[in-house]
Amino acid sequence: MAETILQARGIRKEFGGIVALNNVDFEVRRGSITAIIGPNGAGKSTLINVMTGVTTPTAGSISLSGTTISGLQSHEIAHLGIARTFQTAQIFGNMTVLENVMLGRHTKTGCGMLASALLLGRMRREEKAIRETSLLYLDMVGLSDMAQQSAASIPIGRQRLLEIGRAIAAEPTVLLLDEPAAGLNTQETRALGELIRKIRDTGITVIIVEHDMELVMDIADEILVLNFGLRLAWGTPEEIQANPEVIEVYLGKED
Amino acid sequence: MSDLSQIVQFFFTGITIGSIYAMVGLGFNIIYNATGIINFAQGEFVMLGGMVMVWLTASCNLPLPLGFMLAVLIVTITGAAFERFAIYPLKKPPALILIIITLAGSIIFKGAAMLVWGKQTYSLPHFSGEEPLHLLGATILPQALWVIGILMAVVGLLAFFFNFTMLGKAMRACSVNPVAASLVGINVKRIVLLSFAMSAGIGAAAGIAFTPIVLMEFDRGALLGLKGFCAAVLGGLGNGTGAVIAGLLIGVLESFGTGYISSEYKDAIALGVLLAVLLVRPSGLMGSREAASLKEF
Amino acid sequence: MVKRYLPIVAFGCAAALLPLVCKDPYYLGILVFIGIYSIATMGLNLLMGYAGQISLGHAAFYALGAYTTGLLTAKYRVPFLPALVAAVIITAAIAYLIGMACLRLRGHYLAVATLAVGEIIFICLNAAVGFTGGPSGLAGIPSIEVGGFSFDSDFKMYYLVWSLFILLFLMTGNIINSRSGRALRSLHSSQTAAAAMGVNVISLKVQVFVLSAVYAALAGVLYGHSVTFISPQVSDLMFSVRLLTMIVVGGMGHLWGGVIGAALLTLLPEALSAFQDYEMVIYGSILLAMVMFLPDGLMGAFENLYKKMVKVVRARGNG
Repeated sequence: MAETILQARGIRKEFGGIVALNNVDFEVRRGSITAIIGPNGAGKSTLINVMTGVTTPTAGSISLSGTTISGLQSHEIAHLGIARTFQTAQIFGNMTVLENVMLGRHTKTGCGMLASALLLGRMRREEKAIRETSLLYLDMVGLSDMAQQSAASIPIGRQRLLEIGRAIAAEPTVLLLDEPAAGLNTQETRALGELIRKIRDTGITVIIVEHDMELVMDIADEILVLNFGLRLAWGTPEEIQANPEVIEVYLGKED
Repeated sequence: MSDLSQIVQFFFTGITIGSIYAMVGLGFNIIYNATGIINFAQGEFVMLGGMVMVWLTASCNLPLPLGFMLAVLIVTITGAAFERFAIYPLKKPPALILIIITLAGSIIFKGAAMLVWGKQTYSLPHFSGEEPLHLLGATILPQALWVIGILMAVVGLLAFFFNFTMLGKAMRACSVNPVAASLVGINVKRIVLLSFAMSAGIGAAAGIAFTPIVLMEFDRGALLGLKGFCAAVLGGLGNGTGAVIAGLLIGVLESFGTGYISSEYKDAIALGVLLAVLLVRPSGLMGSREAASLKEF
Repeated sequence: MVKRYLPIVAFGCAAALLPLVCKDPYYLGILVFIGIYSIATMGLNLLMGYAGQISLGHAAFYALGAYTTGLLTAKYRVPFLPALVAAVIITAAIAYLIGMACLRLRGHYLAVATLAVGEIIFICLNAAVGFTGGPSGLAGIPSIEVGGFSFDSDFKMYYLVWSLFILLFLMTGNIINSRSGRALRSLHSSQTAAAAMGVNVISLKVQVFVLSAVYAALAGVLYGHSVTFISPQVSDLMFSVRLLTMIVVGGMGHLWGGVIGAALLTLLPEALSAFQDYEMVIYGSILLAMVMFLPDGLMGAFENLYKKMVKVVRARGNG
């Protein structure tokens, strides 16, 4: 049984009077693909935001390989090895496709403004390495032919892939995908599933928030089901599909 | 003059000038609440109020009350026109652009005022005589009472407007959540227009009331606007009560500073307060933490 | 990669040859000013066009540069280089404090804070008569002297200013095309995504703000020693507005935007004789018009036009 890489204990998040997350616990195994599902408003995006430092939990904690990450700022969590994509692709429209992926290498590189301004040797070597690595990751998501195009000018579906490419260029320990299949057709969704598997095979643990059940049941090793901010169920796709409470939430009560 | 009288004197001067800062601050808050932007032309509305009033009473020989209302109306229309012309046409402009627009507006107003009225200082007759009143061992000009009175009238009218009229409540809804407001049928664009008109009007009233005491010239707007913004921030950006309290406070601080420290640096006092507030407690005395926190700009 | 350097090299050659052709000190003087403003706007452009923040008081840093070296060399006989270092350190320190205070807040606060600092410096320069000379200004600033060589003519200042410009241009370009530059540009697009990728947003903004202040200070230093007399006017709001307008006209976020704007807006008053009185209305109107109709500035407009032309040519080629 693989070790636990991410652990959430008693996560609670309140927004004014609303409880978005209510005492959520879960553990993610290293090298797995874990899915978080639930109806709209279940708290899935809030959970991702808590995991990535966009919001701080009202109570509870999250740890990555033993280090507590809840309460840290986004960029600090990124440096600890978590990368993510967003529900609406937040690509950098004012840069090229390749430059977007190159920014993904930010946490793995270190040259500052002074070294850059003076074009020091180590900066030039680092830039070369960044470029080469980024091209590899760009190729992995299938966007090599768009490398020099402005990121704002490529179609939305490609922008999502670009976001994934940028995230994996960070060579994170954990990759969080926020509804990557939204708006994709069956063929594209299948390709996405293949890509996610490929990413997992490079050693990255993947956590995916999704609505597309076919994709989820196909690729997930384990599934967390949220409803109204509460953890409803946890288990393998088979277990979840057979879980009567889950069925009730998605399909309505059997009379 | 005894020490106590001197303190009272500084206090009177302080709340007089503070009332102006409070009114400018209220103007900032109204626009900020309706639109989320800082109107860098706010100070110019004050200046225009004074200048237009001078023109109406001195050149057109209008009686004071009529002149007052007409001057406020003219500046109000100017503020509304500015919004329609420079802000309304843009679709979702980024914050950076809006700042530049209101700044450009302030420069244009200032430059135009200089072309029309020149660089000299103008004065207005005091509303009800120049004989100082004696109060608590110090003197206070009747005009100062007018200034303070106008502040109180403005505060009262605004309180009534925002709490008891549909339009006022609609404006408040807009400031909390413009999207939700538009979904329930509130015309957000009109609210923006109204906010500029109101701020211009209040600024004008302040400028007119103040001119008899300190006179007015074309470039007074910038500093007044800055200090009024200082009042808005110190009170908590968006918080009307805060702006009033903070404005009076700053006026008093400035007055005491002028008296006890030096007069050349007096303008720097209010600005120094602004920087200190930003450093220590950007949400101000009465503002919420969230309001100041980092968002996408 | 060499392609990137072609324009600046060509520019450098043209700039180097110009004074040999045009020796009139009056025009050389104007060109020196354009160079000085180009340096100041380059920094401000980094802040506004790339990091997406706004400063309305950059004149303050310009004035700090000019007055620090001016006072140190004129009144206290300090040699130029140490005075320059002092100017840079003082400006950087003040910019750092302002940046740390405001850059964790929404951008409006920085705008107003810089406006306030500009005013405060203006007030202090006017009020500290004994120290700075007050409204009558500070005269008798010596020419820049480095290692026995004195830059005491418009001709020599021209080469100094434009050499420095080219150097800073190259360095700025290097930054923009580097890891820091990408991080910077990402801020303009999506700060949330930038932070999610590990960019320390606030720290980066502070760095850029300080850097932009230092550029302005350098420009101020060059100004002071070029005109040998400075007054508190250098820190007043209109100067900050002029710098802002230069960038907006030239094009925010384009390396050449500052130079183009500086050139146009320095030559403008030369062309219009009654400029003095109308200056404010003209600048305000230009600023408003540019931001409403051509927000990407002239460089942006050219770039868009170029892209459209490329599309048309490509379409014709394929058709």
